[in-house]
Amino acid sequence: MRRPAIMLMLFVIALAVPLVVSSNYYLRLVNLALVFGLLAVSLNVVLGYAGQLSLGHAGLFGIGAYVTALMTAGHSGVLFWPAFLLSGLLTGVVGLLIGFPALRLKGHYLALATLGFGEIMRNLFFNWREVTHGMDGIGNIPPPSLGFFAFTGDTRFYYLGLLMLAIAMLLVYRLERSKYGRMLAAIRDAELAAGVVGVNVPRLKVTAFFISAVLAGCAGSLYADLSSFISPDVFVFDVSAQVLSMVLIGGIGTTWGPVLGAVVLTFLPEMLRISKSYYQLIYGAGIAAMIIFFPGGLLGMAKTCWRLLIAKKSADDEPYADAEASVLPQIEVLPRRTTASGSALLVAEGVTMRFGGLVALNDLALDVREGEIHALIGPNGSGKSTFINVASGIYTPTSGRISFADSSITGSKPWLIAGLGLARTFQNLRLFHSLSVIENVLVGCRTSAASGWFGVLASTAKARSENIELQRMAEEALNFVGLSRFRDRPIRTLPHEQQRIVEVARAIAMRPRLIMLDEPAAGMNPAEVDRLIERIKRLREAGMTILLVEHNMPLVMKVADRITVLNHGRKIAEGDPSSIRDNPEVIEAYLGHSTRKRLLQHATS
Amino acid sequence: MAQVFATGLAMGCIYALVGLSFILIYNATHGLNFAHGELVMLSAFVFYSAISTGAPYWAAVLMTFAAMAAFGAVYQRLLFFPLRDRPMLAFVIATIGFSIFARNLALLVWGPNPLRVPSAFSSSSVNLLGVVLAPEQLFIVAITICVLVAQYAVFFHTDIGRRLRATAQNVEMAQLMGIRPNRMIAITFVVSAVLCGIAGVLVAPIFLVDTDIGLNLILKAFIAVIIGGFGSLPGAVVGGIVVGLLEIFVAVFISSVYKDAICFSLLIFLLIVFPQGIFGERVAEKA
Repeated sequence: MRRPAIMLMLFVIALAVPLVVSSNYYLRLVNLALVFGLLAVSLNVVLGYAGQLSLGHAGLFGIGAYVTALMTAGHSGVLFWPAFLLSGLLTGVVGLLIGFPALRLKGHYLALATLGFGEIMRNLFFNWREVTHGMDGIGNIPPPSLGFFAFTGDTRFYYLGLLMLAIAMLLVYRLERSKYGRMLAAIRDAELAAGVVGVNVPRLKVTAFFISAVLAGCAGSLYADLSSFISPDVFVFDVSAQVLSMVLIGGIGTTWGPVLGAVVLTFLPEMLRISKSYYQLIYGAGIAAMIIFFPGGLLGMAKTCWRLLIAKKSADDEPYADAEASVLPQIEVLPRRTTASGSALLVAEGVTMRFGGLVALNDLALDVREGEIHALIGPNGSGKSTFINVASGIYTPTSGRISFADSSITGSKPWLIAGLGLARTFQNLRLFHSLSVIENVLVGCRTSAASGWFGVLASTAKARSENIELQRMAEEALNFVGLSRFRDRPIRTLPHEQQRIVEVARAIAMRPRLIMLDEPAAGMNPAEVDRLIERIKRLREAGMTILLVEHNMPLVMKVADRITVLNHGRKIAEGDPSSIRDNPEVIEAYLGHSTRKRLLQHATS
Repeated sequence: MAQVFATGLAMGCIYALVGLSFILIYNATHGLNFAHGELVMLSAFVFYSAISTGAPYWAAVLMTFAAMAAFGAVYQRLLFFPLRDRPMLAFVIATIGFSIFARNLALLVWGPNPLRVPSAFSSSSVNLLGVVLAPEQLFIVAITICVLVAQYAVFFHTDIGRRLRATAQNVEMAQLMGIRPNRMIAITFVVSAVLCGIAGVLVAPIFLVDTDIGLNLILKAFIAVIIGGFGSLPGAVVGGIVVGLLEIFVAVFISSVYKDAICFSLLIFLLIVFPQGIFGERVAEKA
């Protein structure tokens, strides 16, 4: 109830700004803050939501500005509207071109590539005189006009800029709260896991760059109109760094933070009223100090103060109360799948995986039958996890074929394999650590009637009903594993066992036909293992087939229908638990030749 | 032609020194020090001031190195240490902040006009096998070779070198072996800053010293380490020399105004098709 009231208040204040700010000079600063706010919102899409560092946003900003300047300079202001659209679109296309390298580059590589892009654009703006007029710049850019009404003067421009910024913020806000926002967060937190859970990583990253570039281009277009003159010295690395600082100082990954940062950094130099060098000195030191002492930015700082002073204690700070709740609650079972029990679901033939000289899998043949619990065991380094990585599409096998549900998945992308109904968990947890429990699970959920980007941004009825359906599916999965109590907890506040179970829930939420569990019992105590056994059996009852990689032999012997034993990447035995237990080759693989002999002597004597 | 080559080689050696010291910090901390060019800039200014006091050349050089060593230690303590457990991005942004700070500090202390540092050599050219070369260029190449040999000797043939390498490879394991990682990282920053000091002393006589030399150097050093392969010390050296030569040949034979654009296009191209560089680290994420 409070939220709409605050929004209304902000809206009224925003409308009243030109009435209160009488000096034209300050109103010009307000307008600059709007433009840079839009640019900061744009950077926040790739940096804050998708976790990709771009140091070339000044280049995108410049493209938008030059497109508008070239189209409208010396002409009528009516041309602004097509120029604005074209600025956004063209910059968006350039954003796609940056987005594609971003697929292959992570972290510092991407930072350097985008830095290089910014430098290339700067070089072009300065030197391509035929088009950009070099240092002379382009002047005489008319204010936007509707024909009968021109946005001349800072007051009128203010309302135009405010409208654009508000629209951008609304769209970005919707994006952040949507399934796409969660997917971007998933990529940011754990890219590999995101792919395995069915997120089309490259498409989403490129789309994030596209959206960000469109917004940056629009900001550039508005900038050209605001200042009616542009020259290349505005589109240099310092501006990229400044926008980066705005996002960080305001609050990275938040809706309001970037705009707040833009306002602060636009007004600060004017408020300090000292020479430019002194200001820059303070500004540079301020960025470093801010990142060291207040990683959440001004917004984060405000939230902390709020919590300390007024709200006393938030849910996040609550001590973890009942982690040891041992009784599994009664739960509703997932919709049963029609299974043709006994037919092969996952089939590997002659799979070999080499890493340089190391042969991790050697001519492996394996089939997992529908409806069974199939355990894959073997000493450390025998290739168990490698097989899961190959089957889930993280590695492409050196040779051999793998098929799932009668379609070949050899060398297929993880998200395509996930789409066929093959889910997995990771040996070392790969959760999306900035999301809550239910959001982690939601990333795995898919509906049959999925809405697209347009639906999400326009918030159509279909998109909203899809969201409700997704929530329902995620809650079902959480109920299934008995974690619904913790649904809104930040994932990192859960103890280890529960985090493992959230990974299982995330996999279940995909409604898979086969679920591959990679050492689910690692780090669990006996009581926790017992609960795990219950859960695995329940999964099978719900119609899922299970491939279990595990070192915990009591667990394997209790749940497995069939066991395959690997050693040095080869299959050395296969059969039901009792036959595996007595298989001399298996004992030798685990305990060595001499120990086996001693054991045998011991048994006979 | 040989002169062009020598100029490129000399510039390449500077890039190699900057790239090398940049990679030393990267290897030890996985942090990208965006203020690295500013370290070179500061040392060039300090060197100018030291020379201006009338001190002999060698004394000015020593003063610069001492100042840079002290600076490296303080820099590490103030900027890296508080951020050591935070994501890579935090350190990157803090160093961007520091580079803005350092440039404006230099502007306030040494003023906006480019400064000229006198050359250490009396003659302006030497004749080597019929090719006329600037003595500075030979000096730069010779010093760079000495630095590389010294660096190699320290890293691979001394106890402290082994400790430094152990810390760079695995901090936790090094700690369990009785190495103090924080001290090793501090030493790395000091060594890196002194290398920047050497680069600063070498560039000061051939450039006019102003507050913008750092940015150009660090951008070229980035290209150098990408070409050589991120994380590789020999790669940084080879990459630096390649960039120095490439830059001068592009400027002479293709276009001097677009030389930077061409260099950066090459950077992006290389990042996409050949991201591991000549001696580089594996780029793929481990499962």
